[in-house]
Amino acid sequence: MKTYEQCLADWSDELAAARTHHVLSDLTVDCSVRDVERFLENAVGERRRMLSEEMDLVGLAFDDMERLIDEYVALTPRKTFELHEREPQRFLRWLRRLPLTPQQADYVTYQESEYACYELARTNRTAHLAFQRMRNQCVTEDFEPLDHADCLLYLNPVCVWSQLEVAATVDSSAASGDVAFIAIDSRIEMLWLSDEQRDFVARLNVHAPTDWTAAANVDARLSLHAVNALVRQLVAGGLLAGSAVEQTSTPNFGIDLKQINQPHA
Amino acid sequence: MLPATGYAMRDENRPYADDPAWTAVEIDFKRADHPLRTEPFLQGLAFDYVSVHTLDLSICSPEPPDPQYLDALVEVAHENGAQAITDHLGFTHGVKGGAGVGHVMAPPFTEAALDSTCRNIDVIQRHFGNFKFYVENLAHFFAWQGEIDEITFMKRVLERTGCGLLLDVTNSYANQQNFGDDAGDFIRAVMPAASRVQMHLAGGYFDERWGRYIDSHSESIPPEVWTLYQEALAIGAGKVDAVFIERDWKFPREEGWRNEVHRAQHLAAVVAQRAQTAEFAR
Repeated sequence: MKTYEQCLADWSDELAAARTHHVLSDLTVDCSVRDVERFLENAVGERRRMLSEEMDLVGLAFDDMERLIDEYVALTPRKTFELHEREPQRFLRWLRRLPLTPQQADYVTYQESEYACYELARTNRTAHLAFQRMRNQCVTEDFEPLDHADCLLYLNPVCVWSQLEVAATVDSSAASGDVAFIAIDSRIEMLWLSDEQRDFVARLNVHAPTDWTAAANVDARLSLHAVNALVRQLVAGGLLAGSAVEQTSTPNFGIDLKQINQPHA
Repeated sequence: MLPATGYAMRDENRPYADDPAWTAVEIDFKRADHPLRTEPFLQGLAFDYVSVHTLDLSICSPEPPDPQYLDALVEVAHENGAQAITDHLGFTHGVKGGAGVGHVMAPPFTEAALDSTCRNIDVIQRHFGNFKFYVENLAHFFAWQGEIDEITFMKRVLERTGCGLLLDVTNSYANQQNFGDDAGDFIRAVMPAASRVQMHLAGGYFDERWGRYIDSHSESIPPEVWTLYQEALAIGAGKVDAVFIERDWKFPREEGWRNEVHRAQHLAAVVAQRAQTAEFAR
């Protein structure tokens, strides 16, 4: 006699793999294999539809995305819902195992980076909200670093660094292909940084949040006006925001910032 | 007191949220929980009653839900000014992190399932604090062999845990159409055991291919469901907090949206008036 736990585990395994026969003996007499088939058609259809919707962007790089989704669904039993790892992320990992063209790989990277940003925003939610408030204020007030010597500079806590293969050749200023995916309000945007901007962000990242005076000294090779220009560019791009000290008492905000990805060396 | 009436909010019905009959709203957790959101899902819309509905607590599983998932539900409820959180009386998996069946389904109605379910609901209610928790009856694709019937199972869950009942009238109607369960019997037996009640109303269609009624949320609410709704309102007088209409496909035009919520509100008033008249006559 199987335990309740074992029954549910066995039924879940069977249905997740879209198999019917091993559950039939446990059904009531008024149910039939047709009912289980209807259930599976519904569940598999929902799973396919959800993946197809989530992959609408990645699908642009593939001629046969629907077939790939069918193959994935057929080969990969469904897993239970988890807040921090959803099925589209698992599908992208599966896709990565296939031979991809550079363009296809870039589309997958883009989508993976977007999901990684979602995860960062979920785990650093307080910091995300605080940063977006500060950023909006900077935009509204046309933030000028030199006018705010006492302010603190914050890096966007929802920032994921990636490398794109094909796209890197489009913008000559981003020779290494480094690109930052960042949250701007409730959307994700890509930000290409010059070598100078990337080095500056990497140094700021070690000290963030930091005040303007310290920021001005992170690289002795840069003049005050050069640093001012860099900060303005990064604020405009949404990677950096400035705020007066008294406005930044958000709990754990500084700690969370240490968790963001580093730009590639 | 009349129940608040309204819709499960979708992009398609949001423009009509100002309708005077739309006083309650149900928020779908997955829609409201976008990790990048910088403002609440309701975006300043005001309702008398707000409830957060979810699908993945798997309250009949052997293990309790993930605390992080419970936290996320509470956060969405807080930021939207909700009074309640709801999920189904079913399971989506056997082992946490293991295989998922893909669609919430009722458990086998056994003592072991009852114990697991009640223990999980206790955990959930402690976690939710002041947010009232309601469990919803399911439309069955099929049923597992068990030891007790669904009515007994549902009643004992409600009595042992004190949680609320989200009576999906259309789900009961679908079970009647597909398996011969009497929806009226279910409602008459279960409603008295509930401390508080919410209701779902929706319309589906009969699928010739499968020979089953499909609760597709794609059609107008059928007359039989309106009749069952009135019966449920009469039995649950004084403890029905809200009534939500669900529509996910084949969306109606503006008058369609407005008509159904007005009808839900009107019938609630009629049933309340009848009860008052009967009381007066005694």
